[in-house]
Amino acid sequence: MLFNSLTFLVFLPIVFLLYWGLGRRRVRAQNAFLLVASYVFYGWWDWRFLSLIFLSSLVDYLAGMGMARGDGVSSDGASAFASKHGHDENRDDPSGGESRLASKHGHDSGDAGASAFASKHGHVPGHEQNGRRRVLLIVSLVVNLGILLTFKYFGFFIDSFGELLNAFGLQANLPSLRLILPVGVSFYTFQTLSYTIDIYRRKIEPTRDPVAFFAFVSFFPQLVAGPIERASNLLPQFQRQRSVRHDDLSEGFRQILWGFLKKVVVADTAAGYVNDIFASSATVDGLTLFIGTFLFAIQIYGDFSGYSDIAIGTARLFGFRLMRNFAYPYFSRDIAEFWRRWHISLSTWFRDYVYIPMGGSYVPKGQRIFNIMVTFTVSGLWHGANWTFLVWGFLNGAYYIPLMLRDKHKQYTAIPAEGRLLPAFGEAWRMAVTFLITLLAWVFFRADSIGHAFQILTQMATQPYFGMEYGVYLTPVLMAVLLLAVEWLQRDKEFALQIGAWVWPVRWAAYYAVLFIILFFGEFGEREFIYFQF
Amino acid sequence: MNLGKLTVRIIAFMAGFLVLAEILLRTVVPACDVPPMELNTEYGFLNYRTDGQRSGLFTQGQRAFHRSRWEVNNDGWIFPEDYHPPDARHRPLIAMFGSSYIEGLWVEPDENPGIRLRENLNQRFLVYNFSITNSVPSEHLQEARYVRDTYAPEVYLFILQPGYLIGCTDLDPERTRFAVEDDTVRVVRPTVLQRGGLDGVKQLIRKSALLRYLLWNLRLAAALQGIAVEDQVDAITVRNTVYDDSTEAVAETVAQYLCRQMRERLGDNAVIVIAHGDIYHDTAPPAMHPEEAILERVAPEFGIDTIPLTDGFYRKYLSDRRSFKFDYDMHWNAYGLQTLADILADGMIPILETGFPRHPVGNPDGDSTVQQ
Repeated sequence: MLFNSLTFLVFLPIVFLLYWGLGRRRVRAQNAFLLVASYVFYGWWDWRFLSLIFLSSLVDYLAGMGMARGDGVSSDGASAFASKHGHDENRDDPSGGESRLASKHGHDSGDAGASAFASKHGHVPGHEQNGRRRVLLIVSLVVNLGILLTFKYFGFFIDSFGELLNAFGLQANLPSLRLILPVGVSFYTFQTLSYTIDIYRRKIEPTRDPVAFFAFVSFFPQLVAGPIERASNLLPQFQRQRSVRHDDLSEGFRQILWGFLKKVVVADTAAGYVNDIFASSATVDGLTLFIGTFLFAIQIYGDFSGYSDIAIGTARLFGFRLMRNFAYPYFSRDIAEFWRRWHISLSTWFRDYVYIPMGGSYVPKGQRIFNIMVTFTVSGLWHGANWTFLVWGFLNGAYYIPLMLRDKHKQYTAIPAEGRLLPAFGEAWRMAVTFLITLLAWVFFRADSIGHAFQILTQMATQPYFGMEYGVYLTPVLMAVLLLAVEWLQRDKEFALQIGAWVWPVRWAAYYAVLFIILFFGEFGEREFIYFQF
Repeated sequence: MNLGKLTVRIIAFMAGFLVLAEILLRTVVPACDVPPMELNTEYGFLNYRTDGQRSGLFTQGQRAFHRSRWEVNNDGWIFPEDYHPPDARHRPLIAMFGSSYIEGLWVEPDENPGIRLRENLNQRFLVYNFSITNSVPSEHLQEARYVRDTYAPEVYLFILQPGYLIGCTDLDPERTRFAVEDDTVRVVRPTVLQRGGLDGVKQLIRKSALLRYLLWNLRLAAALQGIAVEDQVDAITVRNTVYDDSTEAVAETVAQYLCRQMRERLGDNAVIVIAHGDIYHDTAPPAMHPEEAILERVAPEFGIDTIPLTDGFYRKYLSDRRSFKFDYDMHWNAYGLQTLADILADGMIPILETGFPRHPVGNPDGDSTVQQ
């Protein structure tokens, strides 16, 4: 089911009313209902692939339980965990919560965390238990990554291996397996993997409540395209009482509305132009290709951040707080800041579960460079089974390394031009340069192949201007500029329509304006979200 | 704030939205308005009501980028002039029948193909257009019976697009259709008879600009059914039908029945013409559709003249390379309808010159009194 479909417009109010109709004290019933609703939401696309979500959930639930048994954790560990971690504080300050979470997941992970956990429980795990925990973790990794590799990468690896053999003049009859890519597989496998890894690292305790856990894995607002939630943030929310709060409802609706605007007006309008330009890249001039790349940057931002806004807003309607996934990435002043603002849930996932376990920054310089490149390249590959994504990831890694080597990768953490309407020249220049190098990487991301990407870049450099009709691109470019302008003005907010503090007539006027812009300028062809394919 | 207050606010907000929408969709972006239909129970066909709104505005797309007026005449057809009985006419009458493509949907009243054909025939003949949306030949036959009894035209011109013969067998409770079994045709009359009576929901839709906008500008109904615009075209013209031996046999049976009924019901002396074909946008010559081949073979057996259209559109496309249809909609635009009128005139002039020597279409200065 797509968020931008009529089906969802019917689905959401029904689920909302039934969910709250169950009564806020009946948490287990609400969870069971959310689980069913989430399976309906996913099964609307293809019910057969529900079996994969079920399998992934079951394996990780049992693995978590098994690890807990090894540690002798009490049966009510989950609720103890929920109350102990006091996630209520996150409700009012999600970004603060994230940063606390980030630091918590930082370099104190691993053995230090394990011993702290062990001493807390007055129990030091023996060799045997550790072995058992490791086996369970491996089972979880094999199943989840197995699903991912089979459905997403098997064909790619086989094809690439075949091409490699061909390059050496060898012919091989390799098996051919063309599977449908299950929507959202990369998202929910990562989410559920984080659960078992965190239990293994003794950062969290497992839940014994299967309904809560299964609902956590399949929670429909973020099931198919994130944000990729951590068990430490989302799972406790399934285990405590939730209430209908005015703030949640109004903020949720505002964020949904803004997400729809970004998706159906900005991203989907740009999509048609982008598709045309990239499809006819051999016959258009460099300026047109540049416009196409710029529009793609806006399209993918509007599409994905729009989805995230709708997901976060929808979750709030049900009393859940999801982590922020985008923080105005195109206002970043260097690439490190960009990656702290773009697809935050994925970049922190890779930081916590790939980069840091490899040694993170506490290793010699050469090793750090290697770690960074591996992390970025793998994150590129996460987006799809294509060399273009790999190069995109590699390129971003290459952008990042000079900053890291000069220890300048954390210099921009504040809001750009804070307290001022316009940025200073130097700041604007850095933003422009960052945006331009991001565009360069987007060419690889959007191109059909590496060759196609190089053809586009060559065309941009060698045939910059034919004097073509550029007026046709006025509408999407204008929309993009307006979006960026509004977001710039609201850059200190979590999302641009966070206008709860405005006086109500102005606020309502803004809502009406957004609604009518969606009505008159939105694309209603139910264009899929780009990140569904990842 | 408690939930009660929130609910009041939401209701107030929604009410404000509805009021604003009604204002905007009547002024800045006018919602599409379509004339209401009713069933002629005696003859079994649908046309427009004459007892209510007789004019309005067709608009297309979410920003109503294309706007055209529509006028329903005294007899319930989209035509800019009233129709008159035989004793009030001074020229022979051509009655044309077709679907929404021929009706002049989305074009200005003076771009109606009936008006354009009359101009092409130097005003020597009156042309009344009895085409109506979603209509196929099984209904054209019913309409022709009504027209015969009411207007006694001298010429009957049926315009059939590929797929319409098979379309007659696509049963619809609101429309007259044919059931074909073992080479026999049974007429299935409409079973839903209250279409004309505007019930509460339909009245609400007609009165609410927002609902009209959602239904007709955003095509919500089609979207709800998951039907794309292009698929709607296929649904109407049944172009997806694979023509094999059995399908062609059905089409042949329908054609035989149709032509026989036309001749028997409209009289031996009536001039009957079937124009068949479709608009065409390609530089490669068109292949004749199986239904067109059937009509070319069957119609002459009943003394019915034929005018192929596709070839004319093809030649026009080769010279002008312009589209005959709207970008947003599958219906024929003013240029397409003018081309249709040109092709029809070219095909009809020889027929009319032979049948009506006192009305020399090719010679505007000739005698134009009614031939009694």
